[in-house]
Amino acid sequence: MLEMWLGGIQGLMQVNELAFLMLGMFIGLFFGAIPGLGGAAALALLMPLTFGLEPFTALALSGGVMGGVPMGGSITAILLNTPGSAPNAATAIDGYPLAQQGKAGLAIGAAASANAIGGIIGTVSVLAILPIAKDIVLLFGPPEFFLLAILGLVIVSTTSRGKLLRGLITGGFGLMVALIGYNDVSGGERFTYGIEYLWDGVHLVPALIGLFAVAEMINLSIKGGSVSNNPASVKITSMTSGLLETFRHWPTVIRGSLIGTVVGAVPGVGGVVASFLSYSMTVQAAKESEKDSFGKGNIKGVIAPEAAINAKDCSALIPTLAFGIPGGVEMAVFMGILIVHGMQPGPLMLVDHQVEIYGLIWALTASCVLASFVGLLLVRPLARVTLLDSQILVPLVLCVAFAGSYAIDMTIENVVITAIFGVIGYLMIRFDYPRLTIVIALVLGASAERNFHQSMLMSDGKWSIYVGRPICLLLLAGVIVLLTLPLARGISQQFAGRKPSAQGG
Amino acid sequence: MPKFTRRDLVKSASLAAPAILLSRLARGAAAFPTKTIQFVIPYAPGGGFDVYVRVVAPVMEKYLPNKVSVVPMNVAAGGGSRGVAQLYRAKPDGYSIGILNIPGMFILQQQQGAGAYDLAKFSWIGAIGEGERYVISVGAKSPLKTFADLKALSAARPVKLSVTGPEGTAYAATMIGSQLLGLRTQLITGYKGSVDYVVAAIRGDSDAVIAAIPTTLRFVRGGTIRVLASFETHSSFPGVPDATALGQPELDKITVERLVAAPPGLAPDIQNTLSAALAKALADPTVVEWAKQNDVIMRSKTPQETAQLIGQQRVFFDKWKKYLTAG
Amino acid sequence: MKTVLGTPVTEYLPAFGLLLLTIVYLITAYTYDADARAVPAGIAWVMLVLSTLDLVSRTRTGFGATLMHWLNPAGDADKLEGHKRYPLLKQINAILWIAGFAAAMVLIGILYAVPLYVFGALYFRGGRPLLLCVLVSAGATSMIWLLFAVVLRLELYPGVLFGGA
Repeated sequence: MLEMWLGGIQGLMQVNELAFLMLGMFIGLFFGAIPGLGGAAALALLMPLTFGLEPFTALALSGGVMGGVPMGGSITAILLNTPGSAPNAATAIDGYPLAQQGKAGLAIGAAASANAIGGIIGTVSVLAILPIAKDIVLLFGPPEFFLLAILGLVIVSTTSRGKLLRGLITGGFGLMVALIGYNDVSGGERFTYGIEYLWDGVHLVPALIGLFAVAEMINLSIKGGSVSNNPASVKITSMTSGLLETFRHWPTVIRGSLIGTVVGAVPGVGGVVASFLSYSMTVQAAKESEKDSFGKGNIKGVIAPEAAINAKDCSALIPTLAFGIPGGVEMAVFMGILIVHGMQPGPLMLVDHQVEIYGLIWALTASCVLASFVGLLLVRPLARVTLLDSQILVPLVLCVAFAGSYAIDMTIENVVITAIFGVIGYLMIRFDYPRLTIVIALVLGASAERNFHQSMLMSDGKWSIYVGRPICLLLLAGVIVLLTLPLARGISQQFAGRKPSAQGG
Repeated sequence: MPKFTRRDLVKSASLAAPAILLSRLARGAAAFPTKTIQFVIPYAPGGGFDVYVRVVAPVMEKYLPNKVSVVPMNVAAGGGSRGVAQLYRAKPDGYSIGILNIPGMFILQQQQGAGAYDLAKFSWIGAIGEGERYVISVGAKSPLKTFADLKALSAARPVKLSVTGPEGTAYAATMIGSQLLGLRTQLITGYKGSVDYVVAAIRGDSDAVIAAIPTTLRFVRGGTIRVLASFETHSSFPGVPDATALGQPELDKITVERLVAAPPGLAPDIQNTLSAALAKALADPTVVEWAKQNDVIMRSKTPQETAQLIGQQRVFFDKWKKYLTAG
Repeated sequence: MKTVLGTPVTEYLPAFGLLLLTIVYLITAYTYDADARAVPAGIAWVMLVLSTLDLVSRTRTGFGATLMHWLNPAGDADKLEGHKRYPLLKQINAILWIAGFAAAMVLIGILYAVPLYVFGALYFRGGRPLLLCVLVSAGATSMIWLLFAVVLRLELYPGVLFGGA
């Protein structure tokens, strides 16, 4: 196997391949930064370009794109509270407050380094488990997916410090919205009220752009000033401070990377879950006194999701390559590129095309690291964006946000969704409802219901299926622990005579 | 000086007119195409139909009279209906063509109510690939070893089959196929994508699965799936009963066709230009090579053959319509 | 500011809105058959309970305050006083500008809406010098056009009034 590894690197070390890798990386960076565009759009755009290329070169290009997208996304997430791609929404939670405090450079630097390290750890993990990858994918069926969704929802709800009720409400609202559209299990449309656009449901990315980018811009245009009112802090931005922070918090990085790797290997779960799970678990693992600082600019809140996103990118290749089950839209387009080049994803792929696969993985990792490097280089000029006056910044950001939302699939209704969710998002800011839970609910809602129905069909309606399978038991235990732990903590605090201050549970 | 009488005028006019008309026609025919042709794909990038178009479109460019591009355009919404409706409404000038999923689009039209388009009225260019036939398989680890085992199971309890959502071709194929095979079934619906629901059978979510041959083949090669029966008239799988052996020749009619169409009212000469280019593209060595690697037969069809095929498919599915309404 | 049960009326609005939405959702859910309505109806019932709790917790009565304290401590009344409140008109103004931009995109298309909005926002709302407004809106439009129409070869939406679908 070692020779395969080396074969992969060797194949990459040609001028042609490296050039396309760099090209892919820059395109990925750019597309990742613009909300609405993303890895999928970049790959779809480049697909015709890959025709004349050798398979290996096409893989180098694709790997380059996939490695560059997360870094681009984190830049806009931090500077403008605008996740360039959905998973970066988690980065914005603490990243944007940091930018507001004048520490945008620190945040971007930390994100860049977490990206690189997460990518490397992800690669190592993937290379280690690739031989048994197939079996892992087969262990996850509808019952496991359903419990995974519940786990995700519970974890995220319990991290809304002091806002349990409102967190649950926004989560419930997200679930209600997620169920709009054509229902795959029993057929028929629900809650579309005859609107053709809603047949596919409320499209996720336009809604996210609205909830974060547009809402923030509405907020800014009311507040006035600029993103950061701390020019002194912005001016002393250094390239390396973020880097040092990441190394200081190495447990967070490792935790994030491992979560990303595991979540990525499970097909169909996607980057949003990886980043939000990583964020939430980092909050849970933090010291009691530190927990309140999350959401207000804790650097660990940036490091955790960023490490997870890049680790996940690598392991998401596993179900895609081993079975042809894409982990998300980006993977689906990538699969198309593979097939066009005569590489059929499936059990044979791991046998027949090993060198190419390793080459791809190395390309992805290299692009990750390079993109982080570029991010670090640009830290100082990027931080200055936070000093731009909102009167100029807001219209410009909105143009890109709305145009990007339209460009996802050339549907003008996306713009309407973005606007509507922009207002909703602003109302959530104004009335202090957490936006975290709504994101996870929107992402997981439809698939959770589908997996629930499928589990019931599999088990002929018996709920015992959820305790009869090993992984299900594990997940169920996790859910129960997460729900009761904060409650137990609150009760024990009561007995100790202290009033429960900000309850997370 | 010869007198130019009115009769002369009329004579010359009557000679000139057809000449002008002929030259106009000739110029018109040679003039197509003069700009980019859009190839509409009613699905998202990366999927089966998308890949087929992206392989064929650049090769088609070589076989068109002038140097124009054939650009694939994804219009993915409403399970495919938006792309189809868009193609239907486009100008029939030869600059918009699209790929249609038959019988998928029949089912879609039925589910969403006809109104936006009528599949019978499209101008047919041809087809990409031969219709794919279906097989019924089980996971390699399944206790069922032959088709007889499956029938025995069906007598004891309903067989669980994994399928996609009710708007998909797989659902229709599964419903009709299981009826013809005489199996009692319970469908586990809602899997997303043609690979997902086959993996479900491998994983053990369901007892068996009815899927198209190319999709199934890649798992057969990996040793993870076992084919129990083929819907083809003559089975290409050794040792496995086919439609003839099972006494159900209609099984062979269940196919997935990838038809290329243009909006209704396309001029015949433009239609011929396009269909000739498509046919030559499918015979091109690069496409043939790719097809071989992906277990696809790239046989082209003439517009007439295509129209005939669609007629046959419509009759077949009208017969089974009652099983395919939602729910 | 009118108060009901000790709380300004505006503070009740989100809870009321949610309650209304949930009721409509629930009624719609019951028009579907059993399989299709199972999960949505379940969620809607839970939401009914949650939004009622939300509503009650916002009142400044003893019961309401206790609810708020146990379920949502961050919303405790004393914490609200420190929060900066912006004039309602300013908020509506901001929202209208953005809604107007979205509407313009839909009606007259992206290529016309962008310069119109950017110029309008900078000049009329922001009061910036004319030359700057013109330059920025021209710059923004050309960037959008370059990126989407030229590089990505996507057709920018022409607007309902100009024949868009």
